[in-house]
Amino acid sequence: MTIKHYSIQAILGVALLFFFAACDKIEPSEDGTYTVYSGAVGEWEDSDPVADHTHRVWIEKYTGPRCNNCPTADGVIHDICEQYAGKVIATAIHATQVFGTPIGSSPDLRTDEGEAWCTNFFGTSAAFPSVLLNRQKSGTTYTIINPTSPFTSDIDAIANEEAAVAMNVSSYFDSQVGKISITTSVELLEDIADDMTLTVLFIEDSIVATQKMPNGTENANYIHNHVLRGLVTDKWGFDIDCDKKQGTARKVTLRAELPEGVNIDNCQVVAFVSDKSSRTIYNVATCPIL
Amino acid sequence: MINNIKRVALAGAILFAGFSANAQGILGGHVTGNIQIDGQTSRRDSIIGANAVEEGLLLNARADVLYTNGNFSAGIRFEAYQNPLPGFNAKYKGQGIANYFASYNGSWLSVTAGTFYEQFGNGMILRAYEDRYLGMDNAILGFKVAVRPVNGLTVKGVFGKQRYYWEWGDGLVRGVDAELNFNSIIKSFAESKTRITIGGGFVSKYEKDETILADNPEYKLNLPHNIGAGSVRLDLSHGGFNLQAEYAHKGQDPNVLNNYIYREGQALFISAGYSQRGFSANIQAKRVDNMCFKSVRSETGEMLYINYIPSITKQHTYAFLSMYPYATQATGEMGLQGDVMYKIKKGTVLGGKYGTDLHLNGSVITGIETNHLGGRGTEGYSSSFFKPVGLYYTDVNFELNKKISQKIKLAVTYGFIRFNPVVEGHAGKIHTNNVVVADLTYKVTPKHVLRFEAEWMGSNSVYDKAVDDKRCGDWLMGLIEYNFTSKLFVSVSDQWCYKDGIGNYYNISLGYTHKATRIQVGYGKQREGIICIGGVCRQVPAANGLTFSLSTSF
Repeated sequence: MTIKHYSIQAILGVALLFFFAACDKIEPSEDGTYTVYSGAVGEWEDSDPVADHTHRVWIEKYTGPRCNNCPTADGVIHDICEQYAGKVIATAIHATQVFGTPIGSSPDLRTDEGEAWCTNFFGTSAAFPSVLLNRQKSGTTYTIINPTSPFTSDIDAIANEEAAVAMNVSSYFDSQVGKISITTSVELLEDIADDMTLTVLFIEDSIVATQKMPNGTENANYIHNHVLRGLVTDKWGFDIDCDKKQGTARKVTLRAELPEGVNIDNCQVVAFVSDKSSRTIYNVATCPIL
Repeated sequence: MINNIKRVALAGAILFAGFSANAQGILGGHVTGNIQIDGQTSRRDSIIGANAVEEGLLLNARADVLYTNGNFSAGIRFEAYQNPLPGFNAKYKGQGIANYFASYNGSWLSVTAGTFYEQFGNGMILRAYEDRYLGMDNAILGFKVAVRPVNGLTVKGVFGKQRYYWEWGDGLVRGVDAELNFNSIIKSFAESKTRITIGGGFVSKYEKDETILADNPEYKLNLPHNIGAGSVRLDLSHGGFNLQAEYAHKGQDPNVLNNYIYREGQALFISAGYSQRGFSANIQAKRVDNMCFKSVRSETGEMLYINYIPSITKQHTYAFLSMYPYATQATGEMGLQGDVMYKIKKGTVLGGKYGTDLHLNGSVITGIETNHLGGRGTEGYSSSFFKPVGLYYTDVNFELNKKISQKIKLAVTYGFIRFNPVVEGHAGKIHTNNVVVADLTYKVTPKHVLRFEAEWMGSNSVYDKAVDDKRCGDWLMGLIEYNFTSKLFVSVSDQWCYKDGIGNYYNISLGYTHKATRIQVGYGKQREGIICIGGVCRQVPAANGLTFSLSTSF
C-alpha cells in the first residue's frame, strides 16, 4: 500500500461520510404537514402618512451572562442611547451555549429566534459582544462592530442619511381578548425595488440575572436592559403588502400574547422594516405597551 | 471590485499573450480560443408582435481563451450582453469575466479550481453545463477533483456555487461520483465482447433557512437545509446490443417549482438498442417524478438547475417539425421513444444505384398520476409508478433519404405531432399537426450547390387572439439556398400561414466562411415561439430586422 493509496482512501472515506450525512429528513407534524408556527400575520391596509421621518438605528447587540466584556459594551450602549435619544433603539440578544447559558439559577434569556439570528450573522464562531447596526452589509458580509468602545461615527453614518421608509408603532393590552394589540404604520419615502418584511418583537428592561464582569467576578444583581424576550412575527418578518412606490402608506395590526415570564410593565415593542433578501433594515420604531 | 480588476488583468494578459504570439508557444504551452458575436436589430411590427429595439442594436458576444501547457491548463471567458438579444434574460445585461479556471490533469489525479462543468451519469442528479443558444449557464465556481486510483475506477468530487447571471447563487452544491469499468479492472475480462460499467453518485445542496409561509400564513414551512440526491447506473453492451439504465432518487426538496411539497423525487431512464451495418434500433423509456433540483429553492428561471432530465423526443431541424418542441417536465412525466434506421442496399429495386436510407422515429410522453394529498407544506400527492395520465406529446416521423443521381439528393420527411400546450404552462386543446418536408439538393458544379426546401404543415389549431399563439394554423414554407464554392452562400425563405392563423415570415441570409471564420448577415421576420435543446427551452420573441453573426477560432 503506497501513500497515494492511503491518501485516496482517506479522501474517499471522509467525502462519503460527509455527503451521506448531508441530507435532512423533516418529519411531519401531528396534522401531517411539514410546517411550524410562524408568528402573527395581519392584513395590510392603507394608512395616513407617517409624520415622523427620523432615520433610526437599531443597535442589535449579541451578548450573554458568561461574556466578561459585555458589561463594558452595555455601558457604551447606554451612553449612546442617552446621546442619541429618539434616534437609536437598542436590543440585547442573549445567545450561544458558550456565552448565553445562565449562571446558577438565573433565568435563561436566550430565545430560539436570537439563536437563529446569531447563527445566521456570525456562523458558529461568534465573538461576543458584537453589534450590528440596521444589519448593514459591506459587500456581501454583515458589518460587525465591537461595542466595547464608542461607535458614534457608525451611528452617524446611518442616522444622517435620509430614511427610505418612515414608520411608527403603537400598542396596548386588549383586556377583552387578553392579547397585546400592535399597530405598525409604514410610509415609503422613495421607490423601493425589492420586497420588504416587517418584524415585531418584545424587549424587557430591568431583569436581574447573574453576569460575569470584566474583572472575572460574577455579579448576581446585574440589571439586564432591553433584552429580546420573544417575537410577535416570524424571525425574518412577514411580507409588507404594498406597491413599493414613493408615498405609499400602509398599516397592519397584530395581536400577540406576551411570552411567559415577561413583566408587561417593563416591556416594550420594537418593530423594523427590512429588505426581504439582504435583511438590511430600512427603519425601526419602538413603543411602550399601554 | 478588486477581484474584478484582477480577473480583467488576468484576462488581458492571457489575451494579449495569445494574440501577440499567434496562438502558439506561450511559455512552452499554447493558446487556443474562439470568439462569437451575435447582433440583432428590430423594428415594431404589430402583426407579428415584434417590438422596436430601443437601443437600436442588441449584442451578445463572448471570447473563450484556453492556455495549455503539458498537464496544466487555464482558461477564461469574457462575455458581453450590451444589451441582451431578445429572449435572453435581462439579468445578463452587462459584461465581464464569466468563467475562469486553472486545472491540473495528472495520471491519477485531476484538480480544477475556478469555474467548471461536470456531469454524473446522464445528469439526473448533477449536470453543470452551458448552452449559449438557450442563454443558460449553470457552471459551478469551486473545486473539482477526480482520482483514478486504479485503471477502470474514477472517483470525482465537486463543490461550489452555481452561476446566476453575473452573480453566484446562495446555495452550495457538493457531489461525489464513482464509476467502475469491469473490463479495465478485471484482467481476464479485458478482451470480452461484453462491456460493463457501473456507477453511482450523490449530490447534496445546502441552502440557508428562509421564511416561506404555508397556506395558513401563521405557519411556515419547516425547511430542510441539506437536500440530497443519489443515483445508480449501469452501462452494458455485448456485440451490437447495448443497455443503459439509471435510477435517481431525491430527498425532500420543497421548492417553488413543485409548490413547496415534501414528496421525495425519483427518476428512471432506460435505453436499449441494437445496431449492425445498415440497421439500428433503439428504444428508450423514462419516468420522472418531482425531480426539479435547483440550488436555490425559490428560483423559477432557467438558471441554478443542478440536474438535467434527458430528453427522449427527437430534436428536429426542419422549421415546421421543430415548431412545437417538447419541453421536459421535471415535475412529472413518463414516456417512450423508439427509433429504427435501415439502409436499403444499393443495387436492389428499392435501393437503386446509391441505396436508400429510411428512418422511423416515434415518441409519446404523458403525465404521471397524481392523487392530491395537499398543498404547500404537505406530502403533495401520491402516484402509481406505472400509470400514465394525460397526453403531453406525441411525435411519429418517417424520413427517406435518397441519392437519385451524382447531382441530385432528395430527403422527404413526414411527421405527425400532437402537442399539449400545458407543457408550456398554459391550458388549451391539444394541437394535432401533420408535416411534410421535401429537401432537394442539386449539385450544379462540383463546388456550386443549389438546395430547395418545401414544407407544409396542416394543423387543427386556430389562432385565438386571447391566447396569441402565433404558431396556430396551416402553413407553407419555401427555401432556396445557393452555395458558391462552399465559402459563400445566400438563401431566401418564406413561411406563410395561409389558413386559420396569421403571419408571413420572409428571410434572406448571406454568409461567408474563410478558414475558421464565419460571417452571416440576415434580414427578415422571426416568429415568436420556443426553442428547445435537449428538452430545455427558451422563449423567443418576435422580431423584424437585421441579424448578424461573427464567429472565429484560433
